[in-house]
Amino acid sequence: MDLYFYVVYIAHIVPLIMFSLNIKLNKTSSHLTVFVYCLYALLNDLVRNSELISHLIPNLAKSDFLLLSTFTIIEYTLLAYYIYNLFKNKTFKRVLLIASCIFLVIAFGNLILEMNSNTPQFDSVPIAISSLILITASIFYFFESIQDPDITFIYSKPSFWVVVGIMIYFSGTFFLFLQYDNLSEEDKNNYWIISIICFVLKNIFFSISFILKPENQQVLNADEYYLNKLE
Amino acid sequence: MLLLQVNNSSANVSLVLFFGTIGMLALTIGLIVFIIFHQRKVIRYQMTLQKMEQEQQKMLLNASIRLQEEERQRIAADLHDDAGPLLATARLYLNENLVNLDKTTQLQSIYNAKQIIDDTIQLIRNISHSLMPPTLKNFGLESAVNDQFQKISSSGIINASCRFHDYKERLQTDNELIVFRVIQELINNILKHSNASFIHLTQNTNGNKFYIRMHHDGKGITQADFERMNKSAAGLGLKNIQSRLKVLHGRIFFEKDASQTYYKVTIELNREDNQ
Repeated sequence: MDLYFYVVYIAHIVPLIMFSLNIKLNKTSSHLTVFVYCLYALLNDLVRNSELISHLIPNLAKSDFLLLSTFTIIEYTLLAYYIYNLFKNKTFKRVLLIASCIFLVIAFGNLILEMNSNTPQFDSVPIAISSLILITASIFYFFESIQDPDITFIYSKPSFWVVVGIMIYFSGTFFLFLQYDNLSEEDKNNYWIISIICFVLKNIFFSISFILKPENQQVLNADEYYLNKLE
Repeated sequence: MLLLQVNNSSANVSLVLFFGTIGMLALTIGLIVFIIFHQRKVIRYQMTLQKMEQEQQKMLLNASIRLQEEERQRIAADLHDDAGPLLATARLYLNENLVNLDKTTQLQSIYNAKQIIDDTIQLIRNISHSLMPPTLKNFGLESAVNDQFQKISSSGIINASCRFHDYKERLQTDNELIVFRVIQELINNILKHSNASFIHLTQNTNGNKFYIRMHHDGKGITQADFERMNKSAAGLGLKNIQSRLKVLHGRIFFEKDASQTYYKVTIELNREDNQ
């Protein structure tokens, strides 16, 4: 368990370091959103692992649920906002906005309901909905990207790596979080590795995005590459 | 029994979780890989198209440079072979005046020199007219084309006629010259290669479009032939037509008439761009 603990914290810290090292490149507001998300995820884990929250809410199950639910809502909001800014198509923006409103209503409703119960359950439904919306939004982003007539390799864009990270993380953990309440304690421990692997992958992809030049500062690298190849 | 059911249900959940996660990840990775490869393919296709277009531009430029050089050589040859000897002869006659003091011989020499100078003037006028037809400059495309067709028809080799239906508003002078050169080139090709017994040219407009159509009953080319020749090193005249029309943002279509008897060439221009 100690190894997982270190791996998770290292994975938390790496993108933050990458962002700080390339702060000049990452001044754009969209990257700042991802940075805030990474920082918030680290702080959330730190608070969850400390006893800070138990001073405020003595019920351990409730305090943990509150932290997880809040994290789900804020995580979704930040990532949806990031993808929303990437969209050029107004219909995609509108669909994401409507889906986000639905998610927020469900997530807050679930939060209020579960906080009023004595033994709050894991917030599987809001997580599943947020995963589905974010995966769909990522597919929309890819669809929009391949229709873009710009001659730039998609993987040279930082936004591509962020979206890949989002997709891998949410598709990898979708079934785990959906079935979490139905798993035995032993299974939970066994399968938690999936979440850790996806989390590490996501943070690696985020780190890659932080070290790439923003789209507007890139040269059309495909031009040179293919013209040389064609000759 | 209850324990067995619980165990079964737990195993099912595990199975769903395991295969679901694997499936989702496989789909995601598959989608990402597909997008990367698809985009590379699209970019590669776009670059190939761009390269082909550049090559065609290069060929058109080369053709136009070669044509210019040929034109210069023709003018140089006309001046050197025709005007040069004429002037040299006139000089000889005038020189004789200085040596020969006999009045009658002197007058004869001056007369001969005058004749030669007149011929030279006519020759230079012809060269100048071939560079810029005065009818085109003074009276416009319609008169110049009419003039050209009358000359061809009066030669008796081929029956040539033309009719301008709607040419009240003239094109810009430079553009008229380009259209005239294209028509000349087409006529030249028809005379050289088609074995036609008639050529008929019509002009008309439709909205913003300006059309010139030429029919002939000889052996012609289709659009596919035109495009093929444009891409190959052959067909210098056709490349010249293409590069001239590019300046006017115009298009040209070669086709066989529906009756399969005539060949038709259509030049299409935007009136707003060229007036």
